Amino acid sequence: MEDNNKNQKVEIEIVRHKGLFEILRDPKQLWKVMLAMFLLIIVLFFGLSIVVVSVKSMYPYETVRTNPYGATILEDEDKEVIYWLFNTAELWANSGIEVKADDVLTIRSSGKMHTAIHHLVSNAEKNKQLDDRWQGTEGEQVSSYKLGKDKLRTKFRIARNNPESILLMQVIDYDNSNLSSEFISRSDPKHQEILSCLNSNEAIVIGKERRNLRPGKDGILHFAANDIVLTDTVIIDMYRQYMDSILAFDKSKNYRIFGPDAERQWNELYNSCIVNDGDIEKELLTKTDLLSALNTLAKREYKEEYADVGLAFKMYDKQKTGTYPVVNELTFYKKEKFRDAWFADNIGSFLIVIERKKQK
Amino acid sequence: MDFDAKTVVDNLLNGISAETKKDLIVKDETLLSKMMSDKDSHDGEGDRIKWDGFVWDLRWDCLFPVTRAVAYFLWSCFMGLVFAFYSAFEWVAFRLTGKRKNLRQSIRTNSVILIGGIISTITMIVVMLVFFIKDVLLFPADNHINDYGTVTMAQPCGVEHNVLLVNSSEFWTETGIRVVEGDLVKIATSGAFYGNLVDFHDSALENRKRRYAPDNFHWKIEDSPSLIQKFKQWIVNKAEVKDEIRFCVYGRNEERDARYGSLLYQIKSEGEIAAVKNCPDKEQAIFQVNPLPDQAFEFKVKKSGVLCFAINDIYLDDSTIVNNIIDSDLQIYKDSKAGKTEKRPLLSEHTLSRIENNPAARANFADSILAGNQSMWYDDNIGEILINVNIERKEPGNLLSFLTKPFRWIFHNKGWMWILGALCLLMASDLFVGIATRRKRH
Repeated sequence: MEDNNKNQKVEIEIVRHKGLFEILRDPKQLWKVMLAMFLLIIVLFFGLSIVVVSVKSMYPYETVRTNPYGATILEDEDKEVIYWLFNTAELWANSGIEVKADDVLTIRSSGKMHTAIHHLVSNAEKNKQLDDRWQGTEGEQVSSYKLGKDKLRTKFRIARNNPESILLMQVIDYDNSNLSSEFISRSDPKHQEILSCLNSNEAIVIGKERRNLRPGKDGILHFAANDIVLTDTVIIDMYRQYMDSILAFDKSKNYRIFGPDAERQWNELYNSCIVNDGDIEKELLTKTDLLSALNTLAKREYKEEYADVGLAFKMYDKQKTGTYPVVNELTFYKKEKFRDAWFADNIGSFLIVIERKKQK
Repeated sequence: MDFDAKTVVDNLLNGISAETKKDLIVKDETLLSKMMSDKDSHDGEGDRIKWDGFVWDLRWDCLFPVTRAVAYFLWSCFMGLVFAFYSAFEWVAFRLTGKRKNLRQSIRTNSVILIGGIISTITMIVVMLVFFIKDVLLFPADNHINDYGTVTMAQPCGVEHNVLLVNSSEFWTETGIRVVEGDLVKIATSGAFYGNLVDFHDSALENRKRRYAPDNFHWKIEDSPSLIQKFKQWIVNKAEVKDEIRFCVYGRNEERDARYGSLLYQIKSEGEIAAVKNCPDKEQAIFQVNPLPDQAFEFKVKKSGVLCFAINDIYLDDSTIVNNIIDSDLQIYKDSKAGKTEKRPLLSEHTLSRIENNPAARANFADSILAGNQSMWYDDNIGEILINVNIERKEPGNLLSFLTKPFRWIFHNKGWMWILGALCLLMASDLFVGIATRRKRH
């Protein structure tokens, strides 16, 4: 204010936002403010990221991911849909899909398989109608030519008394899951039980569709087509039944190939080589009566009839004719520990779709 | 002069009481005009605020001495940079106007900086909200199928998921999946195949095990690296398979991790023919998918192009390979007839019996392969593989890629764990040091 006697003037200057102007005059203060704004952006970014990630984990929206075993997982807020391709030649193929006991699953499958590539090729070569038809995931009616055999074999399948080739599932805990090719060849009884489910009901029948299925235990989903797993226990049971049916057939037909001594020796061979792990071809050479009976059978014109008896096991490659039926494909499988022999000739894949409801 | 209400009132009263004519001027500028005016200038050298230099102030009497000292040091460095910019602008202004201006204390200059900063902050907040809501939380499903049958599902943050079915008998399946240098690709598969239909059939017919190891049935070895070593040892022990590896697409160049029946990939330019082997004098073109247990296989793209897949099998593009196979097989055939070996030749006995001791038939056979049957070893592969290809694009391809990349690094690639871990470690050790020195002082 100037108070001038000659020219009196009152000038009032109103200054607002004094603090702001102090900041503007001091570059250090100004840049502290700028840095604070920048840090605010960073903190906001992290904060929002955490919120978003948390929201997305609780309420996923059209999320797609895969697991190391190739399962494609489409995730939504209330469910997961998983796609996985299963090759039917695999026994208990590991899908890598982890489940909990109280999960609710709906499983559907599609695709076709054939149980015997050599039959397929043979029929195709001869332009013949297929002896064994291509089967879907629900398994199909057994061809008429093997109805009798099927009736006997069905009780040895993984899912007893269920159609051959129907899609099966088993929940196996991580420690015992199929992680390598050694899965099939492991010999401990617990593992053999996992493979064959002979005395357990662990195998779950899926077929074309199973709705609202609860796994019942935590573990990893494994899949197989229903057939017989040739574990030692299964082979022992099957061989016994086969042996008894051959002997019964021999008596019923009155062919009298297997006399009492041959029968006794065959029982001894069964105990030493099938129940235990002896070399059946080697020990057979010491069973003279049995060997003689087999040589006799080999010369008979009705010898082919024995091939269709009971479980109807065939000879294996390089087997001497004079040792059949005592030595047969089953003894070969046991010796070689070829447990998945009846899966190895399957051809075809199933696409499995699993819908899992999210637990609230 | 400072605004003093009492003084104004006194003067007004004095003016009124003195009955002198007073001119009353009230200056009340708006904030913006006040900010943009340059009235307050501190152009004299004595008024200029200068940079304090680098500050390293380590005080052991506080709880986080090193953190505090580092923070002060970084701040002093930052201010050094700021003052350097101010000095540069002042020099430019001097060159243009001839007058020395104190821009660092100029209200106008700093107002512009502050307003710019506020606008940028608001813009960034809005952009972040848009990004998180539109591009992450509510990212629209964009699924489509390309000409090659590959299903592509776009995911947030520049991630793309592709699924396709590959038949093992195809030599280099085109996928139509374009990848760019820097993309991160992850591959996971399901399904299985077998590399020899005749053996598959014959083994079933003869009730025997398949000729090749079970490992060979699956395209991948999902086991531990130790089992991969075991498989390599198996290769060494089984000479016939060792031979087959050296005829394969991957293995011909003596690649050490080559496995017969593995899954291979290559990235080729569009329109280009797929490479059939790696050449020692050229950049590696064909790679093998080598997953580790419980992990999908991943790799970083080094060359842009289109992804192709094939099974590692024998491909007969080279007369040397063909003749090597024929020679090797004829020897095995001869030895097996003489009972000297149980090895089986790769070619059929029918073919070998025809070309044995018949150079013309042998030459015709070799020529027929090279002329149009190079993929005969692929033709007998049986089985399909469902391949999942997950791609994290280096350039997400949206306008907000500057947010996408850090978000992806932090949260998809677990980068936040590293940051948090490092920070916690540093702060914890600093706190420990601070407490220890304080105790010592006391």
